[in-house]
Amino acid sequence: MQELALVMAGERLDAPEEQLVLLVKRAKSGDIAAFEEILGRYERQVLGTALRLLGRNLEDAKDAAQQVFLRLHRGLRQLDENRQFESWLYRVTVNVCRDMLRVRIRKPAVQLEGTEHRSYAPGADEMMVHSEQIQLIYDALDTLSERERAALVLRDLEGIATKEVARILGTSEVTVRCHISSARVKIRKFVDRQSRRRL
Amino acid sequence: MNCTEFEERIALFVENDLSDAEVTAVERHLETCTDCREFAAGLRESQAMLKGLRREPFDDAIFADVRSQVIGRVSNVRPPMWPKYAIAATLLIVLAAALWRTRPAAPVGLPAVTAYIGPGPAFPTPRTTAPRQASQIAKMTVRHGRAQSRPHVNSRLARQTIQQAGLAHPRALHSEPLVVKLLTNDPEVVIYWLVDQNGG
Repeated sequence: MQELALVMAGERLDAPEEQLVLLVKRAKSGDIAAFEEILGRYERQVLGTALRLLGRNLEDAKDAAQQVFLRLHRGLRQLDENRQFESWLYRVTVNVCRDMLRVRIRKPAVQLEGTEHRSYAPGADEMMVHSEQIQLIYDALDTLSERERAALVLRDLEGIATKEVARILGTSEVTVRCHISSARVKIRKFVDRQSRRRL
Repeated sequence: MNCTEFEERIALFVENDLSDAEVTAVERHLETCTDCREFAAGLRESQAMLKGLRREPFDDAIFADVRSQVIGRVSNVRPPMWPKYAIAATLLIVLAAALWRTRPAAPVGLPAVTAYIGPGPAFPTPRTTAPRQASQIAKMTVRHGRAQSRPHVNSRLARQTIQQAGLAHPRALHSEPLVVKLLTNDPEVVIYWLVDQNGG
């Protein structure tokens, strides 16, 4: 109805932010379809971030994503739809993953290899190289501290500005820069060491 | 500043995370330091590999699984009803308070009709209503099994009672308001009904 009113008033609903505000409002009033649409928009962001924070353990990442969306649903009434929704979601994702990392007894990782994740079709060799590189980077990420890892994932993989990363992680910009730079150096040195071993 | 101290600056430099002044300082150092140039090149490679994770594809079935789990759980959660109850209760309290404050005092010198609600024999005889009216009231207003706990007023019957008593017709009243005092089976609940010229 609100959507219709806006259209009638000549306002455009093209902007994703406006659409999101309407979706959140509808979800707040108990509209499950609206909530499912929000879920569809952000599932890739949440699952991908969780997977990189939790070390390529697919089952844990799925659990984390579920927890994030259930927290979102529980917190909908308190959520200010005009504030930055994505940042809030990242913050919840980081917190859920942090909690899981602290309490879980690590299960054997379900690797994201083979048929599970083929959404594009490169050549067989290229795919194998890509898969090896991915595993190498995941191994490198495992050498980072929890904070370095979170800062690096948000900045370099999610492409979030340093200032925003600081807000999400509840720390200062200087600290985030420090974590990012040390994480990049560690990754570079790890990759270098692994490459030399193979030669 | 030695090369080890430059490493972390270079790590920010390769991703354009430095201020202009810092960029100038790093560029100057790179011009003169071969090791740091190699280090920067290696960083660019490892950063490219890191960003390759962005292209890591996910099977749609993974998302479908998460979605169905979440929707399955939230569909069973009903929105809390307490806000509606709270609003309703608040409105009732406000209404009751307003009615209490504006209740008419028992008027002196005005014609009054007293109607009784509840079983006939247990209550005092009405002062001005006919016996037939009183029995009608008792018969029509006592609710099965609930009369003792919740007094009930049948407004149509009360209006009939007033008319039959020859007092309620607007023309008969000559613009004087009529006060109807309705007694219930609860001695603490007495209802006054001020009838205007329209009989309302």
